[in-house]
Amino acid sequence: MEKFYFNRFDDRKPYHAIPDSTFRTYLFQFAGILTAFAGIAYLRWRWQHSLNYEAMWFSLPLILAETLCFIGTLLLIINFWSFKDAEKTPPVHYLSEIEDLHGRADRPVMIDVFIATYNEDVELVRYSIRDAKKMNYPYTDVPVRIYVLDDGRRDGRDPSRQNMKKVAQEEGVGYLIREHNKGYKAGNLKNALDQTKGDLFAILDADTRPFPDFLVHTTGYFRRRKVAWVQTPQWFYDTTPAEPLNEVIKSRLGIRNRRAARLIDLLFGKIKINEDIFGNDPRLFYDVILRKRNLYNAAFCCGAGSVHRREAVMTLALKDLAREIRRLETDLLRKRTYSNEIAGETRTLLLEQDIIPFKFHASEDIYTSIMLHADKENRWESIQHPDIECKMLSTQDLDSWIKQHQRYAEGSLDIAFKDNPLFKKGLTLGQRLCYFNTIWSYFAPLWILVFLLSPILFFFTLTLPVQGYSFDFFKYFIFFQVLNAATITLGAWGICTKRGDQYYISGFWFMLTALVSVARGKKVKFNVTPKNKQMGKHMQHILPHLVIIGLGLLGIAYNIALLATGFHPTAAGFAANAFWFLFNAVNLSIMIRAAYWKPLEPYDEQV
Amino acid sequence: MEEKLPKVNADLSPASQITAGKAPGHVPPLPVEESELMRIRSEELFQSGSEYPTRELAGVYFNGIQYFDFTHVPYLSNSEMARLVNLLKSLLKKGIEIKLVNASAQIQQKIRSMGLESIL
Amino acid sequence: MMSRYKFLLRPLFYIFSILFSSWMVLWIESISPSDFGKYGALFSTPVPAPPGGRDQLKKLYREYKSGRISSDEFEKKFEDLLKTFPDDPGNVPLDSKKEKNEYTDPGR
Repeated sequence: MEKFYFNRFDDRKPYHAIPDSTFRTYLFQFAGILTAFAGIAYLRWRWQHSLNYEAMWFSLPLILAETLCFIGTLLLIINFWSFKDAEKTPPVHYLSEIEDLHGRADRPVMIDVFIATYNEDVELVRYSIRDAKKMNYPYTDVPVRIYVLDDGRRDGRDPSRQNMKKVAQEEGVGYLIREHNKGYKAGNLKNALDQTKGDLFAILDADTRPFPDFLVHTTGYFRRRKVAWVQTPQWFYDTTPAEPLNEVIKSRLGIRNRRAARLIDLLFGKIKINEDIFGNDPRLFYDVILRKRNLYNAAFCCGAGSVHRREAVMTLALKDLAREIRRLETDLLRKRTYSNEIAGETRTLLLEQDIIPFKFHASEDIYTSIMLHADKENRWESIQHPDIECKMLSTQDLDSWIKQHQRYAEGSLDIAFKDNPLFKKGLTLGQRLCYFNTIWSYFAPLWILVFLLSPILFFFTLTLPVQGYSFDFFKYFIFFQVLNAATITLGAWGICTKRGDQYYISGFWFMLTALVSVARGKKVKFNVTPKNKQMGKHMQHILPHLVIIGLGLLGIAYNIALLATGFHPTAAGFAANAFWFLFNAVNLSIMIRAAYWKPLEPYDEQV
Repeated sequence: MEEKLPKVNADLSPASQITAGKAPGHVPPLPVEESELMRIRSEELFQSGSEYPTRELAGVYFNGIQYFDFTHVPYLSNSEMARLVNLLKSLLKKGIEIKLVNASAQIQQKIRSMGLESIL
Repeated sequence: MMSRYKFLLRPLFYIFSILFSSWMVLWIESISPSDFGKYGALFSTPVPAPPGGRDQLKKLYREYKSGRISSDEFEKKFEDLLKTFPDDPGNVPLDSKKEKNEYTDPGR
């Protein structure tokens, strides 16, 4: 088998899920309530006593940004409230274990495994196929059929392209294609569901390599009749390793002098940097955010690494079809159309309408999850499985990372504008809040931009957005910030959130462009994430960061000059804003570092 | 059900736990409606589970309408209903309508609950 | 016996948390008065005059002149008002001769 860069990471082992702790949960809830109260007190004081009325053009946007950001904090506290892991049970054997037979004869369940591919290297997909074939299942009469769903139509018709069909045949697995790409990945899955018959099906991406017990650990949940899908954590085993700072310095600066090298070793030898430079590790998301949504039955599907009940997605598809037909019939009745004409129109609609199990959307996974959760009649359940059952590849350059996250952002924002889950009938309050939390995070660039620009505005206008940085200000602010930090630490116990925090701020630009793009009604495209390093131009992604940092440094220089000459009106204001700017700059710099990152030892692409 | 049921899919290799999906390219592609009809006749769709050869789906074609006899069909799952709708579509394209006869009260209720009574 | 009432633990815990949080907020507020500016700035930040400072002074003088408030009340309110102004030299005692002549003789 061909070698890739990720082969060097094959020995990495996944983390263990955070164990649930009643004491820590209660401590978190206590801290969360304190944080909420402290935050409300802080904002009340800010609104009532701290606005600089002579500079409302500055004061108002900042206080609004802080208020909107606090809403996100509250939603996060609600999301983090408690673990509620589902009980693990042995894998299923017969159909009667997962659904009511209604007089049908019983039989072993059938399981399909779909490996969706489009333009990935076929040898890369071969890794996934082989790992899928190694999956265990304790019952030999349960058929587990593997299919490669090739939306790239690489069946040998174009000799200049790789032949995915040949690889599938060599590995002895099924190969399914369609002659168009309607509906992106959702359409690809629909095509597969039309041609297969598994009662349960697993979705894997081209780079998803399931562990041998993937099915053993997940199918047991379907004994609960209402479970529609089970999502397992996506673990990226190829995140960039930590590099010794001394080696990075020597490499970047080309230092060969022995004395200089020894000095650098002495000063920086123990420090390591660049671990997961692209912030790809989604542990906080899967092990905390999504897992804790089990409490509200609001854990949504994320695509790869999930197992689904066919009956559930088919219910959705049929109900959608019925809804369309009913809508047409109601319209026609209103127009007083004759019944035989209605029948004719219905037939025409039926011919045009497809049965679509997964919503045709760039974010088909979350959208379908919302629809299933909102099914009042069936009350479908979802489960976020706590343990890692597969491994995947992460983006290896900034351009790919941005493309991937931009798609997530645009997809979620598109749903927010067209079918907002906060107002979706059928969802429970907890589900609405959790889905809204996801969507709300994509509006963050609005307040992040204000936070980034505020210190710079002060530097050049010497206008404070508050009446003063007084004792009152700091007592409310510090209390709230300390409690907030403690709450998040307790809620995400055991996980370092540093990279996540950095990228939350640093990602403001691509999120802003996504927001503007969706708000303008631009169609959301499904951009396939490249699975190998792209030698792209990154300047377009980091130019805003460089501008902000540059302006900030210029502003600081200007303010220092004013202070030195005694013309600066407020040293306290300068001190506070300078610290604020430095905090922002450090967070923004992560994306600049990621843009120019290169491994110390170049990866061998193929051997 | 506690007792072991006879294997349904005799074409599976008992030695391998994981079996390859059958690539549809192994048989010459059939016209759409014929392949749909074949699926309707297949054991898996109607879950008969019998170890005897599949009972042919009873049907009569008369005056532009294909009648399917559901006497021996105890239940339609959503997946099966989706297949039926697809079959209906493919036959409608040829100008043939479908009528289901002798459907049990359970099936009729199921179709009504899905809101598909106007097309099935 | 205790297991019968175990279901009360969680709601009691939440009620306690809310009460404690309310107390915490009140305690934070009492660390210094919530009306901004009484302790001045942490650093030497000039505090801009609150809106209506001049108007308030006029209003105070009018009240005293019309006899609605006594001289003691006038003194107290005037001292409070002075503290809110920037560049305030502090609590200038009002019993200095010059000021007494100015303020006790409303006729001027």
